[in-house]
Formats: sequence, structure tokens, C-alpha cells
Amino acid sequence: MSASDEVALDLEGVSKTFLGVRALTDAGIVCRRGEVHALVGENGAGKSTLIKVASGALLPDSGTVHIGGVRLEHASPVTARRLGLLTAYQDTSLVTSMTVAENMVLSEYGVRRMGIRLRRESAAKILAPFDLPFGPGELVSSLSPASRQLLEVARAMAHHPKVLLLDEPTAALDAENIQRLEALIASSLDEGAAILYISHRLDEVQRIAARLTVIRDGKIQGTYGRGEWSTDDSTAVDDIVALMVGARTDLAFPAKPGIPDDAPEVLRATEFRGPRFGPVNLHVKAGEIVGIAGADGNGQRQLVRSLVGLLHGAGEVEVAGKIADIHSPAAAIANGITFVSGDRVAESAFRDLSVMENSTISLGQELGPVGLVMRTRQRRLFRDAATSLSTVFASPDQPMAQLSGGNQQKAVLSRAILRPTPLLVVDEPTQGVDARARLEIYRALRRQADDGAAIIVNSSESSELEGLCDRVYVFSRGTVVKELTGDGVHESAIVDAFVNVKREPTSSEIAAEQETSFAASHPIRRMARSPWTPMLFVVLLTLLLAVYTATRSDVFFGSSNLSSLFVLMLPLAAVAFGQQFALLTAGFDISVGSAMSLVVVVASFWVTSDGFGSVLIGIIGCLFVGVTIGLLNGFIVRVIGINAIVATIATFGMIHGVAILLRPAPDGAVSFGLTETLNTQIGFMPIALIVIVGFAIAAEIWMRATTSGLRWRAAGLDEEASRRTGLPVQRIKISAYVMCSLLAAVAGLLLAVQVGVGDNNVGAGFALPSFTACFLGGAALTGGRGSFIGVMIGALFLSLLTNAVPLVDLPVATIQVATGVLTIVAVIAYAYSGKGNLDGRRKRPRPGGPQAGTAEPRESLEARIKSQQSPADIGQGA
Amino acid sequence: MSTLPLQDPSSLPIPDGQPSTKRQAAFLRDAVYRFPARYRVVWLALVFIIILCLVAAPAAFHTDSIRFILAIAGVLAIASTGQLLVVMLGGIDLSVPAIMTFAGAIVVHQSESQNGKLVEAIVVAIVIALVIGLVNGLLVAVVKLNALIVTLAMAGVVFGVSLLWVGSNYSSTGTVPETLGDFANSNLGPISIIAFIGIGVIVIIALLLRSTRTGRSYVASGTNPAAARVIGIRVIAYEVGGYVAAAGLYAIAGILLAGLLRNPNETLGAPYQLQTIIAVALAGAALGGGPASVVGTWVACLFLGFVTQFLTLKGYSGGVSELVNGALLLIAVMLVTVGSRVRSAVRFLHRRTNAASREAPSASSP
Repeated sequence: MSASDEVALDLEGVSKTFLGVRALTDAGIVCRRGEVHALVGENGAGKSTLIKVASGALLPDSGTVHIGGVRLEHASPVTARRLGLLTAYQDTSLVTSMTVAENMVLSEYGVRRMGIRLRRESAAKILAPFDLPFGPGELVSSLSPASRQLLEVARAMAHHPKVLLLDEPTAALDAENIQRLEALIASSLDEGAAILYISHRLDEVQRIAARLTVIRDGKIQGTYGRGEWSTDDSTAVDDIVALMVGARTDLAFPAKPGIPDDAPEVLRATEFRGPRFGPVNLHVKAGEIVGIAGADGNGQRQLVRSLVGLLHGAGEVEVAGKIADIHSPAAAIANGITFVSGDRVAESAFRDLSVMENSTISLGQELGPVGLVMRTRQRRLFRDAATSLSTVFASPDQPMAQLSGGNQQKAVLSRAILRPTPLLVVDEPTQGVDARARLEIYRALRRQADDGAAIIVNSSESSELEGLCDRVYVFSRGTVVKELTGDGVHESAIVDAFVNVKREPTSSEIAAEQETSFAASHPIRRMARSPWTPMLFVVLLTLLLAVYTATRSDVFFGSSNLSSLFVLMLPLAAVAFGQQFALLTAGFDISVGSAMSLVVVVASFWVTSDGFGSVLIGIIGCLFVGVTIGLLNGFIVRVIGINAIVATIATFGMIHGVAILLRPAPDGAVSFGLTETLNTQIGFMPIALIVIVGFAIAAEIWMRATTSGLRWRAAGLDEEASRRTGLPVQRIKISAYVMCSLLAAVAGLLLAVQVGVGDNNVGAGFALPSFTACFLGGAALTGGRGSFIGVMIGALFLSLLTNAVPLVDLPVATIQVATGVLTIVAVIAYAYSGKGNLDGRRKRPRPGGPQAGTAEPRESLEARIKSQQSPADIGQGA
Repeated sequence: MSTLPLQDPSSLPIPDGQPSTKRQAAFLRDAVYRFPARYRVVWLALVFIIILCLVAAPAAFHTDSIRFILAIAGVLAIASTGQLLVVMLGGIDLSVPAIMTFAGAIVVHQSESQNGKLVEAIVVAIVIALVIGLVNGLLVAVVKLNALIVTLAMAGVVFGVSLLWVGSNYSSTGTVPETLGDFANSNLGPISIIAFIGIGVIVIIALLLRSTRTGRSYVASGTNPAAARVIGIRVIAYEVGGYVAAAGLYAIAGILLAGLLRNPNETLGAPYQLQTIIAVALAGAALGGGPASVVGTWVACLFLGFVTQFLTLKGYSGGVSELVNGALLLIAVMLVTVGSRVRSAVRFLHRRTNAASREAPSASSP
């Protein structure tokens, strides 16, 4: 038994502060081999911060982490993984657009090999003992949330970890899958793993945990052995709940005046359902504050968002007796529903605008006639609202970003106070708000209710609901499991209701799952998402164009024309291959055109003699220029953190400037033996074509069949998941810029051979076609997609266009028009075929723009505080 | 600027009837917040370049030179205001040179270089530009494509269509109608008429953005589209409108520039791609969208006009000017990106020391 006493994970005195908010205070926890150690606590108690510190994702302010007796020196996921600590995250670290097998391989980085070539087979072998309800070839996005969660856990276990962190692993699971998970945990324990199990569901903890630690407000409340709280003793459970909830907070909530029976009903929702919730029946009277409670992720958020038009719900909603059609937020407002989002950074604060602007933005006529904003009126209205809420600020013109969370929240709430509607829906009214501001917010809400508004408050803090609400609906798995009224509205009653809930999948969950599997198996959807579809389309287009041109021109199929076509295609193909590397990792490089020009100019100095040695040195010099440009771009974009578009526009100008400086006018002669070589043919195939096809195939194989190609794709598809899996994201992305510029340099050399003279602007026209070729091949700006063979065909098509247009007697300008139109068509086609994506993320292709995510897990408090920490007046993080 | 006023209740807005010194202090404080450091940088840059010109290239202040600088700055300001409208939405517009060139070409082509058809030609040019902007806006805001790709592709299409439609000579003589040429080249004293038009455009756009609810909603849509949607602002309509208005401004700039040159060709708009983006970045606009100083954009254009003239007078080649422009863009963006990061760190430290000093007995005074 001595082995089971061995300490596998030891956290000591860990503290972490985010911008003045203490997330962890002197927290310590010890996990031993072969046992499950449960960590329980309410929402926001500091559980996830503790996990991030243990897994190396977060550097603590003080304290140490030891894994298997070795100190974790550098806070990075890959170091922790090397030491044998694996983490299964609640919102998973899987790249959803990849298959199960590919995700398994990704997890290998820096840890342990599971076999490279026959991935699917080896993944199947590794996953076999876990007995999972899906195959290795399936796309993760087509799996149900429960299956994804199981995969996340199984993937971590496949590494035979010394320490396994399981973050709320059962949140998405039904009873059957929970049994499955518990079997997995048992087998992992047999191997001697130490498991830190984070949960807020006490029934599970009772079944599997040998030890239990309670955390509240970032402080460890105590650790208890199994003997100290027996499974059948219900008083013990109450004690644990009491520890989680803590001492009663002595906040003086505003008095609840009670609702008269004859108060008119403002909201009545009948059989209301939507994504991840329902059907539910809700009603709220005028003057009433109704709370929505539950553990995070049980559909409360979706319900609230459906009520205010941000998601689409079905069922009947009546506001003040009239049926309301809520298809958008604007429609919700028109129907008398105001929404105050809890996600200040993403959805309610205009951080760069002033407090006054933020408070008065919803006002209309009150600000001035004929659409004018009169500053005096604006100031007066603002001052009234600010006084009633005791908002603190230095000047009405102070930017929102400089205020504390509490004052920001008050400014946001001012909108609802200045422009009251019959129904006010507030999501997390006091998240990240200090104690005093909380009270003022509660009072303001109560005042609104006293003035006749009906208010719905969704909150993950049960104590807040107890103090504030007249009535509370408790949610679990998307339905109301309990309705508490009057004196029954108690924190412990609320927590009790969702901690001790019987779990059975609701009809909406089953429906969601069925829909998922249907969508995944639908052949048309599947075809639309296949990487080969865009390519097929372009091949058809190319053939069509070729046949048409051949009918109109005799010379087209002549071997000299074809040969020159392929030679012309070389530079474009090379630079487009480069662009594809950048796009693969969600990068972007518009400076390739200038890079090509510069290399042509440099070649006109260095690659001038026919001597093999000096030509070789010259070529190497040119490639070196390319690498330097790539490093510069990578540095500016990834290290300094300037948006790729702007950064490469700037380097575009600078590189072009250098080219002009070197050759103010076309001069010098490029000559090397390649000119003839490229034009010679083997059989009827020009060498040029063989080179291009060879590179495309090699790159395609690299991308699809090697682990490094897989990692590059993963880094492009989902940077956060890749980082959690321990991939060297930064290195990959900078390498992609280098690769891009290097190939642009190759393209420059090939172009130099064709033009033969140092012209400083000869590459400029290649920037747009380099993108067009990639998009025709199926690439996307969001990264991770595309195909090198597709790029080649795209480049062939564009070259063919250039070649064919004069042959069929069309004006040359047609080429430009066609290229532009094709680019847009290709991007639109991709955008629409991509809508079949089931991960529910509509990534908006805008740098750093907040995502209007629908079903995404809510950002943690820490993440939000961190994002507040980042530059206030730019929105270009990514 | 490094020290922020303490956020305590005593610094609440001062009610009427307070001593005037206090009111002045409040006014000053408001002003500091309304014109933060990132808006002030460009003024410093302008002062710097003027001093540099005074010392190293006094020829820049000859009447002809000033007229030229102001005319160029005026054209740039009109085009940059368009770019600014797009950047405020978090987009970027790479179709500036294409639209400017096209508009200039259409005016020559449609008027056949005759004064009588000038008005008609200008209307046609502007309407076509608005249609191009509408297509850009719809593709970006409704179809949700990337602004850069859309406008880059649109630039290709417009250049191609331009060649197909008006050719490369535009008309038999290839010159703009005399009225337009004379108008664009006229001056009031040392100030080009184009500079006045530029100022007029800036004033109108600045007032619209600052003092109308439509303008405030526009700014809000760019600052945080998700939040704007939540409070019922029709974000998509504003986005489309922004691209349309921008294209109209490019067309006006293109027509005036064509008039200034009298003999426009297909390179007319070329320098304005990089320059409009630089002007916007120098004016302190965040390239991810959000509020920006319209007046600062004018100052930035003036600054760029002086830079161009300085480099020309010093005999530097076009290469140096490209290099300088690229570097200016990087520096401007870095000032906003890195600068605000530094500032938020300073603010954080400042708050911590404040908190510490407040804990110390009677050490702090407001």
C-alpha cells in the first residue's frame, strides 16, 4: 500500500491575482497515486484557476507546483504534460474540425509517440480499451457533447498519466455515459494515476472520491478523508453544501415588498424551448423580480438569450398580454424587452466610448430634436442616472475601459433606467463587481421593479438570487426542476435543488443529439464539407475553359503554347503555395508581391553570370532575403502583436521601397542556366509542370499525412485548443510566415528568369492572384483549410485565363475582372459550404471582433479580466 | 496624462453655480479625456515636420509649395475620411486607388473633355462609386466576408472594368473639362480650393459622427458590434452605409485629383492605398474598429503632405518615400497597440500604489 501514499501532485501556497481580483489565496492541495481527490466549490470559487495553475496554463503569483516530485519550473502546458500531468477540460481541448484519430495524434506532441503512419488504425487500437461509442474516423464536430467529453478524458488517459485533472467531466453526460466514465476512472486508478476531480455534483463525488477538498472564494476550506463523510449520511452532505456556500453574507439586500395578487402579468412564456433548454413555462408579474438559477451550463443562458432575441426560441411568448415575435434584439426592444448582458466586455460595454456615451446610447428624442445629440441634455440625463446609481467617475468623458467593473455595470444599467421597458432581463448583474456597487445595483433593480417593471435575473450566484428575487426557477438540464417562492427562496434550497438532481437526458437533449447525428450523416452536407469539392469545381472550370479556348483558337493545344503556359504558371504557383502555408495557420501575408519584386531586383545584382558557383550563391542570397522578410513579418505579427493585415500592408510598402531604392528604374540582367532547363520537356511534359506537380503532391502529403502537417493545421483551426494540447503555436505560426516569404522568394527567382531585368514593381500584380489560387483550392482565412493540389489547380486556372483571353480575342482587362469576381465567388462558396459546420461557431472574419457565439461555453471570469487587461483601445488581439 | 484623477465621489460632475475655477478644472479634465494621447500624437508629428522643413527645407514654405501641399493634403483628407469610416467599423478598404482612378477616368470619358457635360459626368462617376461601395458593404456586412479580401478583389474588378469601358486614354484628348481643371487648380491666397473642400468634408463628417444619434450609433456599431446589436442598433445597415459613404468620398477625391492633374492616367490613385491607411492610423484610430478623431485625420494628411514635399525637395527617390510611408504605418500602429499596453500597465501600477498609500494613515489627499 505504500505506493498509494506516494504524492503525485502537490500544490503549495498558490496565490493568483487578476488585476486586483484575488482568484486564489494561499491554496494548496495534495493528490496521491491511485486515488480520486475531489475538488468541490460553487461557480467561480477558484476551481478553474487552480486547474490552470496545476496544468501550467497559468503562472501563479506565488506558490509552487510539484508533479511526481519534480517542480514545474516553466508554466507551459507542454512542460506539465512531459512531467506526466494531463488535463481534460470541461470545454475540451479538441480541434472540432478534425477527426478523432487526428486529435489523438495531436496529443502526442512532446509527450509520447503513438505511431505516425497508420493513424486511424493505431488510434483505434489505443482507444479500443476505452470502449467509446464512436469510431476514430469520425469528425469531432459530428460527435455529441457527451462523446466529445468522453474523448477528451480518454485522450488524456491514453497517455497513462501520473496525474489526471478532470474538470467537470460529467457536465455534458447522461447516466449511461457517467457509468462509462466511472469505469474509465477506475481503470486509470488501477494503473496508479492520481486523479483530481473537479465537480459540483456531490452524488458523483460520493461514489468515487477518496478525499474531498472544498474551495470557496479562492481559499481552501478543508480536506476530508472518506471516513469523515460517509455516503449515506445526509447531514454530511449538508455540511459540505454549507462549506461550499460559506457563512451567510451580511449584504443588506433591499426589502422585498411582496407582489399583490392582482398585479398584471408582464411575461408569459408557454412551452418555450430552444437550443439546450425547454420546454419551460414561465411567467413574471409587474413589480416582480424572478431569478433563474442552476449550475453553469444547464440551459439558463440559452433561455435568457432566446427571450431577448439573441437566439431563436420556439413556443409562445406574451408580453403584457400581446404575443411577441422576438426574432432579433431590435424586435425584442420593440416588444418591450430590454436586455442587460452579463458579458460586459463582449456584449454590453463600449469600452472605448465615454461613460456618458455608454449610459445614454439607447436614448432617442430625449437627447435632442431631429436626431441631434445635444451635449447639455445628454449631460443632464446622464448625471441624473449616475446620481441615482452612485456611479463614480472622474469625468463624463472618461472612457468606459478606465472604470472599475462595478461602475461599468452601473453605466450599462443606466440605459435600462433611462429608458424603462415593461420587461427587463438581466444576465449576471454583478459579475466582477465589488460589494458596494453590488448593493447599489440591487437597489436600482428593486427600484425599477417598484416602478412597475417585471425583471428576470439570471445568476450563477445563489446568494444573490436569495437576496434579490421574489421567486426563483431552478434549472437543470434545460428544464425547470424546482420553483421556489416567498420564504422558500434560500441559497441552500437553490444549491440543494441542482446539486441533488436525478439525471436523465431531457427530450430536448435527445432531440439535439439526433439532429447532430442526422446532420453529420447527410451525404450532401458531407460532400459540401469535403476538401475535394472545391478542387473538383475548379478542375471542371479549368477543363471548360480549356475546351472553349481550343474551339476558338488553333494554337492553344500547340505544345509551345502549353509549355509557355506552364512556365508562366511557375511564379504564381510558387507564391500561392507560400500563401497557402500562411493561410493554413490562420496567417495572412499581403507583402508577397513586394517580396517577389525585391527578389527580382536582388537577383539582377547577384544572379548575373553564368558561372554555376556564383549563380548558386546568388540564389542562396535571394532565398535568404525571403527568410528575412518572413522573420520580420512573423515578428511584427506574432511577437509585437499587430494585426496581420495592417502589418503586412506596412511591410509591403517598406519592401517595395527597398526595391525602388536598389533599382529606381529597370536595369541589370538576370541570367542563369535555368531558363532553358525550365523550357525543356521530358516527353511532352515540360519540366516546369513536373516541378510544380511534384511540390504540390509533396506538400499535400506533408499536410495530410504527417504529424507536423497535422499540427500546423490544428494551430490554424483552433489556437486555444492547440495551446492546451501543448503544441508550440507561436513557433508554428512564425514558421508559416517564413515559409510564405521563402516561397515568395522562389517565385521571385522564377519571375526574374522570365523578365530577365531588375524591375522594382514586377511582383505587385501577384498579391491578389496568390489569394485567389488559395481560395479556389478551398482555403479559408480562418485557417486550417485548403489543399496544395487545389492551389496548384487554382494557379493553373488563373494562368490559363491569362493565356486564353488573348487567344479568344477578348480584351486583356477581362483577366483582372475575372480574377476579382472569382475570388469573391470562391470565398462566398466556401462560406456557405462551411455553414454545414456543426461546432456552432460563426467565426466572423474580422480581426479581433467579438464573436456572436451562440452555444459557446461562457468565458471564465479570469479570461474576462485578462481581456480587460489587454490594450483598451484596440480590438485586434488575434 | 500619466497621472489619472482619483476616482472618488468628489470628482463627480460639478453642478451649476460652483466657483468658476472648479468649473474650469472640470472642463479641462473633460478635455483631457476627450482628446487622449493617441489623438494628440499626430499634432506633435505635424509640429515636428514643420520645424524640420523650416530648418532643412525652407523652400517648402514658398507659396507654390504650400498650395501644392494643401491641395494634395485636401485630396488625401477626403479619401482618408472614407477610409476612416471603414476602419471605424473594424474593416479596411483596399479599393481606394481603384475607385479614385475610376472616378477620374469616368469624368474624362463621360464629359468627352467638354465643359457642358461635366455635371452629368460627375454625377455618373459618383453614382457608380456608390454602387461599388454598396457591393463592398453587402459582401462584408451581409454575406460576412473578410473586408480585406472583398475590397482587394473589388479593386481588381474595378480596374478591369475601367480598362474595358473607358480604355486607357479615356477620351480623344484625355484631359478633364477645363472648368474642372481650373476649379481644382484655383487658390484663395496661398490655400488651394481643394483644401477648403477637404475641410468642409471633415467638418460635416465630424459633426455627423459627434452630434447626431445616427453618428453615435455608427460609432457604437464599430466599437462593439455585438453590444450595439443587443441594444437594438441596426449594425448591418450602418456597416453597409459606411462602405457606401466611403466609396462616395473616394470618388470625390478622385475627381478633384483628376482636375488637379488635368491629365489623369491609370496611376492616379496608386499612392492613396497606403497613404489613407497611414493617415487613419496616425490619427489614432484603432484598426479593430471604434471611435477615432476625424479632425486628427486632416492633421495627419497635412503631415503626410509635408513629408512628401520634404522628401521631394531633398531629392530622395520614390523608394525612400515608400520606405518612410511603410515605416510610418508600422510606427503609428505600434503607438496605438504597444502604447496602450504600456499605459494600462502604468495605470495598474498607479492604482496599486494609490491603494497602498490610502491604506497608510493620512498620507493621501485628493
